[in-house]
Amino acid sequence: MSANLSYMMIRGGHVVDPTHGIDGVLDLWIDRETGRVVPAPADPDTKAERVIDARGYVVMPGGIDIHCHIAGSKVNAARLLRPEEARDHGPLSPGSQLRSGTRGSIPTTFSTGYQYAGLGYTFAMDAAIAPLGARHAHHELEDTPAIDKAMLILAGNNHFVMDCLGAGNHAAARDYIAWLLGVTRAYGIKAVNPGGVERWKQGGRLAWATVDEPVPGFGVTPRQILVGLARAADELKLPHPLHLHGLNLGLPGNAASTLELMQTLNGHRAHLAHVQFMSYGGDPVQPASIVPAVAELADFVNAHPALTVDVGQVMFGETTSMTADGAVGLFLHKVTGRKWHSQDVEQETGCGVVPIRYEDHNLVHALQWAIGLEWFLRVSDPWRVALSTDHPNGAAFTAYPQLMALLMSKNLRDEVFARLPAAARERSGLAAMGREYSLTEIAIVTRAGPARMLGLTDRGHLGPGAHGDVTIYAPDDDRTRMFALPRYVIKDGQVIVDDGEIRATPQGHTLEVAPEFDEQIVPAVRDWFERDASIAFSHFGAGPRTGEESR
Amino acid sequence: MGSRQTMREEADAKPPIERQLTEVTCAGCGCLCDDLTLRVQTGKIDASGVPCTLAQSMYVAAQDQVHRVRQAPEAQIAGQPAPLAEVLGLVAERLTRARAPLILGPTESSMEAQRAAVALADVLSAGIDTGLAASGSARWLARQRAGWVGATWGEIKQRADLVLCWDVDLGPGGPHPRFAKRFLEPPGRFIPEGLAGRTVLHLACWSDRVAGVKGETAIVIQPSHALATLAALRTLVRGGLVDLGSLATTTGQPAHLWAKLAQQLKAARFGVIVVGPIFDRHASLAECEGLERLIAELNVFGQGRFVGCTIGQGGNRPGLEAVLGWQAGAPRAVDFSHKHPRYLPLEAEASHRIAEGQADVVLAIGPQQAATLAQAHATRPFWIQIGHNATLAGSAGLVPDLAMATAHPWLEAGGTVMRSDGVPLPLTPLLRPLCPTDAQMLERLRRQIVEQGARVP
Repeated sequence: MSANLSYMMIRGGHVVDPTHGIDGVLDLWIDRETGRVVPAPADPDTKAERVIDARGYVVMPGGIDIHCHIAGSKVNAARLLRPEEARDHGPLSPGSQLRSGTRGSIPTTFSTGYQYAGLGYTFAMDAAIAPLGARHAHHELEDTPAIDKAMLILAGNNHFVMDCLGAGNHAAARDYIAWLLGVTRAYGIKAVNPGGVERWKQGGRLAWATVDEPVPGFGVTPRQILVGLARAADELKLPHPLHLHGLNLGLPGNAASTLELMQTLNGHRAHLAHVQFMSYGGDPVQPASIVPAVAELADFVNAHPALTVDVGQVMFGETTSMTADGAVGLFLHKVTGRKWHSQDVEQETGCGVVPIRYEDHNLVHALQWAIGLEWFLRVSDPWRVALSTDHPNGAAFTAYPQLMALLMSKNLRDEVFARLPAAARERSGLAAMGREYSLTEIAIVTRAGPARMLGLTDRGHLGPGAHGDVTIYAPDDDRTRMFALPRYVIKDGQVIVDDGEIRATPQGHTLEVAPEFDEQIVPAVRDWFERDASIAFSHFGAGPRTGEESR
Repeated sequence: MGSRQTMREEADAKPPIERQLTEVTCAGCGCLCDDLTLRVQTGKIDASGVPCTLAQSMYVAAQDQVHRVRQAPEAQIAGQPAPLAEVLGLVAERLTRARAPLILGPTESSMEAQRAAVALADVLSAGIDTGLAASGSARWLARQRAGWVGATWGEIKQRADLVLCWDVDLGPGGPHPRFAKRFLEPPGRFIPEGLAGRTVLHLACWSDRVAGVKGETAIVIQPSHALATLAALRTLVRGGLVDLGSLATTTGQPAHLWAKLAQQLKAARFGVIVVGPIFDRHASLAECEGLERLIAELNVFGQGRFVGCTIGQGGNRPGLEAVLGWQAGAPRAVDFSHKHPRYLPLEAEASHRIAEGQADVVLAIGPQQAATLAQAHATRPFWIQIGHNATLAGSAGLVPDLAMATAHPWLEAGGTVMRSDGVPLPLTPLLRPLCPTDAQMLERLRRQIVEQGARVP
């Protein structure tokens, strides 16, 4: 009897694998050659070459971040804008074998990969890349090790899309989206304030009065853009549906347009991103009028299985807001008076970056915190709500352990709630909500659920065929400590974190899709591009692959 | 990475290719035009059909340099030819032993090479900067205080109804010969009349004349009045009171002109202030900050959208700033000596470190300007040069202690470059290189250093 050199066995851990309904003690086998989970060998005498004794530990799939901003021109501009962030948070100087970097809300790329891995996360989706900057974004993702990653490209203010939809030519819009995904090597599409960024760039207002106002010069409305993109994603059978950042983000009263957009989808799949920022009642021109409006929205989500959400939880402290919704950047600059970066991207989108500090004594911030938690507690099916802070908008991803702890403990929530302004406490229904997440529910909202929402069939679970991405936690009543310091993190069958130390830094995979489309669309795209763009058509897109295996 | 001889034999074994290349990116000036058509015949580039005299002369000069480099040694020790492998080993050893190594980052190389250069700085716990020229320092400090508002150049083409050129000549005879041709003259989606639909204004402060695209108004002020002018414009834009008479006296320009200018800026549907290398070189931190704040305030108090546009020099400085941003968290003046990146404006600037004798070994990547090297002469750190012309006699102004030649970054190497509006573009290799590219050379150097015991693989 000899050890099988290709096997790793994780022995006797308390495995929490919601996809397969597992919440109990068992052994887990990984074939290290393929990096995949395999069934336990039929021969009971088989020995693994590497055995991790997980008895007494909690074993989960690697974490999946469905919505974050970690790469590309917007994120990098934030790094360049805010060197003080790096100073305030200290460096990442991880010793031999690793690259150094900065931390804070906008860490450098290597530091981003290491810190995600350190938290037990093995996949991160950058949710907003301008297609024109895809080549740059892929460079950054190549320099983000230890995790798998992918990007969503921005399409909600794309001129070609709006022209096609305005002309009633849905097929052309769909084929263009498919072409765009292929040339940018992206995983899915995102709409940010559909039509609104374009309207703002023309000197228009920040807020939409209704979803049926036309986008000047394009003969299309936010409603039509939304439906067109959601339908295209469905028809192209994209693994992830349309990823939506709605209208009037951050403004009191925006819940009405959020509800209207959800109703508009009418059966199409969609994922509502950082929905916390879209769930406010009140008067748009009176910030202090903000009231939570989660109940009605969550009820709608509960009743419509084609919809999923991630929350975009606000956590108190300093962070960096960044959005492709350029108008919101200007709004925050005006409100906070802090420095502002903005960049308009031709034919596609905009961008705004503003530092922000969420204060627990600030009425608006306090309610944003409570509204986010309400979303987690009001969505009855945890498979339909993903944990996110919209990194770094609500907080950096490094705050995830604190957020998990809040979800698992009403007492902890009450402690924070008690120090919020009285007006916030009066308006929020959070204190009356006694629900506490179980470990299984945490595993759903941080792994299994987001994987399912993204169509990642071989991630987020520990069944045979899954990537050998595993996080092993030491149980601890202090849930923040438990989730912040995994005992082991395993990526594709390789230990990458051991008791807080980074042991290996695989490149990770960059996932992409390449849906089929009617090639007849390309000449029309070329004509439009050559008329309006500032670069040659052949230079658009991500360029040739230079990194590791992609899918 | 083969030897020069091996690469030459491989190249000679292949038949010469005659081909026409379209959509070639030119890094000769900050426009980074990527729509050029070139003919390459028997290893020679014919750029005579390129609609830009600057690009034509650049290709002639660059090709001449390529020809001369091909006759030059692949590596040198104190100016004497030496085998590349030997020199590479010496470079690795010298850098590993250095007390305070400093890398002059490759501002003319691809982003692939720039990534390798920053990785090397991390390995070596070295300082790294974007060169010895102070250019860019004030601009970045101002941006980090005030922020900045910009747009890709296609936005200007599609939307700009007001263009204020500040010390930048966008005409065909200027340093950015095709900018106006490509982005101001054509009709835009929202400016169907093209140039006729745009109001073009000129302001000259550090340049001796107003030149370039024909404009409606030309204003000349003294450099010492730039800050006062910016402050007055900002106040006017915010609706504050300005003593226009005093401003007129100070600047020598009539009061009504300033009032009108502020009104024009505020009334723009989509306005842009364009600056170039002259502004970058001369403007103080306060002036750079004043400009960024003026542009931001025009978005708050104006009628429409307003952006800034900086046109850089040729090469790929924006690429290096971006790479430093994502790998080190700052655009320049980064110090890894504490085993992590620290952004130390002024203190970690290469010119300061060399002038103060704080760098004992300098690794200069890419061609260096004569003034740069003259400065280095004074303190004379141990000088290692890696670049296309590193081994050309007389090209460096001083004889490097160690030198290794690499492929020409624009003509031979390929890779990615970045325009100063942040748009990445591919470089097409036009000629077969007979040297390793700088990215290859730097990666090989990094591996060798790691094998010698530095801290990163």
